[in-house]
Amino acid sequence: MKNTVEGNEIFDKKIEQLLGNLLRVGVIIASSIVMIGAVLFLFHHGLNYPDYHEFKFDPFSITNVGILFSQVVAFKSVAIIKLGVLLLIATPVLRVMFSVVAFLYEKDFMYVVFTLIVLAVLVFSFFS
Amino acid sequence: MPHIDNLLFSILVYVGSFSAGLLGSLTGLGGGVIVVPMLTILFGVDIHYAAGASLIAVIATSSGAASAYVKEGYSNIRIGMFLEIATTIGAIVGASLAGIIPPNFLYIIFAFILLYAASSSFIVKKENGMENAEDKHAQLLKLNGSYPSLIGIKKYSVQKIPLGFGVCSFAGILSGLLGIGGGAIKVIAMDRVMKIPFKVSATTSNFMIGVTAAASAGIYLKNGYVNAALVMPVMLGVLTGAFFGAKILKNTSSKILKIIFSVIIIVMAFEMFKSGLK
Repeated sequence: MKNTVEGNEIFDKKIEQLLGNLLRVGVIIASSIVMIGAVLFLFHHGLNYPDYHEFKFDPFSITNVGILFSQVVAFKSVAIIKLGVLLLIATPVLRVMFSVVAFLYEKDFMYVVFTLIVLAVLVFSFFS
Repeated sequence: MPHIDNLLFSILVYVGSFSAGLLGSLTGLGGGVIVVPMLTILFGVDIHYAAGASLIAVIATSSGAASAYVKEGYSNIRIGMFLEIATTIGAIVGASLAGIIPPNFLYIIFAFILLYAASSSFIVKKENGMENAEDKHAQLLKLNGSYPSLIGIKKYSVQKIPLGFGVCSFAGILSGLLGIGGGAIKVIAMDRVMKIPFKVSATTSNFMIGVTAAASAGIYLKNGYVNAALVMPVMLGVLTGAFFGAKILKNTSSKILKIIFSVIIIVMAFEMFKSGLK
């Protein structure tokens, strides 16, 4: 029993290292996209006045991601920033998905269930 | 607040967010707790937009720092994943409440959080974990672990899991409500309640912050709190600030930093109270 726990710990650390790198790559890609959007935004709207003082209801649904892509292709700066933001939000979600696989591989079914619960909560947040 | 254009606004917000990320990383309290009051008080941004921008920045710093933390070998993925059940459910509750609770209350809750953050950064941490008794819940949930220390591998056993789980739900609610990482409260749950060694608590908490914030993010997007043009300088600023903070961490005296940080936070808490009572 004890040996398997320690074996798992070493495996856990390898997986964590892999996931840590995955997260970092995700952040680098996402922030590069936001950066491109930022340059475009300031180029086109830099001299307009911002208005964040009052809240205006402008919901974004994940189901509208097709529309977002068409705007990104049209080089709309706000859409490019949104795409980067969505990719950024996806990185921790991806980490949880990979953890499901890692726990399955370790045959730690209790943690497979725990991780699936976390994933279900995340899915609920985006698709409810 | 005079009328300034997008370019100047973005530059100023970037500089402010950079400083917030730098201070947050140097003191270990995270940038979110400074970014929200900075945006609302200094820039007059609506608190929902401020929370949305901060939440995205929190995800960026948590994910960006993860690989560095893993390398040190302190984080415990089972503790993290188990407690994420509590923090993510809490985050959804908090994010949903953010749309219902009047903004004035949000300001006042935030002021209390700031005062708490200012005081918590001075509490001396003592390492725990060695002398803990075995806990049957911890064994069942396979939460016990070990970490590298100067005198070799140290083992620890986790205590009071139900209470720790409860405190983590509360941390999740605050994170969703205010757009902060809530790292300080997660560390309390793990370090003080569950008696997990401080370094393990702090690094595991960093992992949990990103997933917790992602749970709020879905609701924030739907409610329109994430304003792309505002997120851009905040996210890039906090991220680069935190990155430089991590680089210079070893060469700075944290005592002076903590005093600077606390003074800023107390002033902000006072201003948040004033805004809340208007």
